[in-house]
Amino acid sequence: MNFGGFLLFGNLLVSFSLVLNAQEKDRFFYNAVRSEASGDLWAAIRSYEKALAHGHSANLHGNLANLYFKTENLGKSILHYRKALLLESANPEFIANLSFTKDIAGLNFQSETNQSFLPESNAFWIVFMTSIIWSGFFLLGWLYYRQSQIRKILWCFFAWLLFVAASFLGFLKSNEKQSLLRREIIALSSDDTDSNQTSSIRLRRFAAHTSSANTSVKEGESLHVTMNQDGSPKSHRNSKGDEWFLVQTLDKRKKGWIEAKNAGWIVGRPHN
Amino acid sequence: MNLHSVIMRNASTCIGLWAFIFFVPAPKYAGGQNQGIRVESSFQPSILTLSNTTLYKIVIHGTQENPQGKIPKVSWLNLSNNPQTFRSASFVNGVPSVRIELSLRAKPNEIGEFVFPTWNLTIGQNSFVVPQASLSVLAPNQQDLVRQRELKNQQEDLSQAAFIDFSNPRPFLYEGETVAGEIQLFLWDRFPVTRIEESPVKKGDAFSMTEVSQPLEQRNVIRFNKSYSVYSWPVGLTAATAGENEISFSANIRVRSENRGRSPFNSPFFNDPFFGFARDESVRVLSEVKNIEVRPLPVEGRPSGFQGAVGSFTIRSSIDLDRVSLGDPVRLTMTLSGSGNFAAMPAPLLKQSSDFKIGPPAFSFTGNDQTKHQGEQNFEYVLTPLSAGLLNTPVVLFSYFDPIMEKFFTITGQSHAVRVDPGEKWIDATSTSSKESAGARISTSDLFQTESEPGKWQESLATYDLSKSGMFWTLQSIPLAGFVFLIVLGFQKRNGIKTNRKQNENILLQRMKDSVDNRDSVTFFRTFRDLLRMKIGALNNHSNPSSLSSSELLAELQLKKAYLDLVDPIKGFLRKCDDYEFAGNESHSVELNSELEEAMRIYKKIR
Repeated sequence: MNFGGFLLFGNLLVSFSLVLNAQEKDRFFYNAVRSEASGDLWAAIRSYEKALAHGHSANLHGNLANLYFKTENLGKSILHYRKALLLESANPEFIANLSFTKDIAGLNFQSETNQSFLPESNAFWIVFMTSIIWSGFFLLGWLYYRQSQIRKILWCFFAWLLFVAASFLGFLKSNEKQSLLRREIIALSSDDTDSNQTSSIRLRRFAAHTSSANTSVKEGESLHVTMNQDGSPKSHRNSKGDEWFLVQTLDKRKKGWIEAKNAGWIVGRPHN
Repeated sequence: MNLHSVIMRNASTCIGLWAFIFFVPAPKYAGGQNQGIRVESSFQPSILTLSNTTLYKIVIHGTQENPQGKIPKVSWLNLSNNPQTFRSASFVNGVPSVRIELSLRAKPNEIGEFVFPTWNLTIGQNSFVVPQASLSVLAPNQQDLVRQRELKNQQEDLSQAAFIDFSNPRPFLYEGETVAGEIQLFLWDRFPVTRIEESPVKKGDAFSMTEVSQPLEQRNVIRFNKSYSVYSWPVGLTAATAGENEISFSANIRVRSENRGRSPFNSPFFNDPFFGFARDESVRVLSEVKNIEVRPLPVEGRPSGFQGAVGSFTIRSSIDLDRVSLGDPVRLTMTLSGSGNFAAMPAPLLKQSSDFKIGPPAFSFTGNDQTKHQGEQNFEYVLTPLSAGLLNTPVVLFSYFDPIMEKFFTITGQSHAVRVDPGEKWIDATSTSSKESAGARISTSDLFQTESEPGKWQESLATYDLSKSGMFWTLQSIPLAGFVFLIVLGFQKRNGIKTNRKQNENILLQRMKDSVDNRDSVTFFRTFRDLLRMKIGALNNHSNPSSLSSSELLAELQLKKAYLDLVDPIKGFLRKCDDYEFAGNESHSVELNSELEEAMRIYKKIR
């Protein structure tokens, strides 16, 4: 087989696998909808989780969050509402559902961060900032070309600097939030926890079950993972293979080690 | 030893009946070549009954060379194609004698007295005549008749030992029609079958067949006065293409057969195929080839919504909930029952409705899974109400062709009323206080809406970081190039104007000096006024300095405080210019050298 044929065959193979993958996730989604309609919530959750292995959609995370809410797993419900909002940040149902679920979970003390510099707006701020910079350069260049008075050029230059500073501030703020989002986790109760009891997750002094708890956080509470210099999460793996992360609350008042099974990454675990 | 004979039996040679040519490799034996060649022919025996066979012998004396020739064909006799050849050499009374003998097995077809005609054969270069031979064929005797009957019975037994029968309930089929048929494998009880190696396989592309599963077994079925074990496979057969189409089936069975070589014990027990030294052999069993007429579906009267359903059906529908909240899904189940091509039937299309969002249907079949010909086919649709109120589910129209009635029919599904409540009102959770006790159970019914469509799929949740995109930074080179281009253009423009002005100034200065040398006062003052226009115009970036009048020049100059001391001398110069320009005062002589010095002083002060 020549190189062209090999390339064509490879392309066909990839296309075929993509089509299959697309059909697979739709199939799992519709199975879940049917299971939920028939009242089998656990089967619906299983089908949604299978669909998640193939891709993400706002409705998928929203439906899954609804199901976890109905099965009283508030931590996972909040986690999936957050994921749904990542994909559709303006969806009023997701916003209202998340707020309601947080209310039920007793997490309304966690004030929502202001909506002006959202992590997903980072791309907007970069484009805005570069547009401002280049617009200014073009204006100054045009004035120079037109041999405008130097006083006029200077006024324009200072006005331009103000716009650049403002857009750069927006870029920095959204970048900071994006960075925080990358290391944000939701505290989850263990699967073996009795759903009837109020679940709180302990943050331990050392990365071990035998260690005393430094403090505790509520299920569904947002935490930030401390990162290493290389951008990987600060973690510890014990002899049993259990992984622990060093986390702190948003207000940085609580800090401690949390086991990986109690941590639900919103975006996904970052790799260095 | 006065008689020494060598008899060589050669392998039979394949020959055609008409082109009878001997290609027997013969050993060279020169002993009898010198004798005269003589040919004889005869039937041995020359008298026989119709059911027996005889030998047609040709004996050639005096040579052992290969003969060549064509045996004539006669209607009353069948001659075999494989002659047997005998060569012999001997001494008779001290004289060497050689001969070659050809024997062909012959079976008469008719009763009577016959004479086989003469024919020619060639040995070497010479041609010889084979003489006539007579044969007397008598009527078959009682023993022959018994033998013939036994032979016929044996042949029938062999074909009836194992065979496949296929039953088709309809004399003809319509294109797309499915019928429930049955494939039956008959195995004679005396036939030593050990197992069925391969289930029946269809041969004939014009039909599709459902999968064959485990057969139904039936013992002691009498057919052809024999006892059989019958294995049946019910199948659904669907006609795919119109026309006169052939269909047949084949299956493989394993049979224990007697060893070709005898067992060392030479005992009937050990040679028995069941108990003795026997081996397994695969035997292919075939059915008769059946011709089935497949008619195309009529075009006349075919409904527009017909999707290929052929059979006889009834339709009913049901919903799982008749009262839901807005956004909650309702399952609408359409059930088609009856007989027909369920395996090839597409889902009926629901009429699009503005009241409901209709999801893709799920299929389920209950009934005879082997033939999929009779039963119930369920199509389950997920409907999501789009508005509140009393809504009616969409109606389904289902068209099919009835092959018995040979007509198209359209049946209609029932519409169901669904009451859709607007749902719970959301209260802004941020404005309500959350003072629920920790132990209170959460009311979860109908609080959340479930979407029935997945929406847009994404590979990852990670937001796209544009600052790490090489493409983005590469694209920045486009405005950068534009900006650099603009600056270079501006620089060139500025530089060009300045150079041009300087050159013009130099020309004017030179012209002033020349006019001093020539004592041309008019040109001197006119040139200096042009120089002043250029310099003062450049100070204020005037677009057209050559259009400035004397008073405008002075006004422009007064705008620049640094040059206020030059206003008066320039004013004097401009007046002189006007005098020389318009009054034509040629008689009034001036000292041009001193005027040039004053003019250069003013020129150098204006920067």
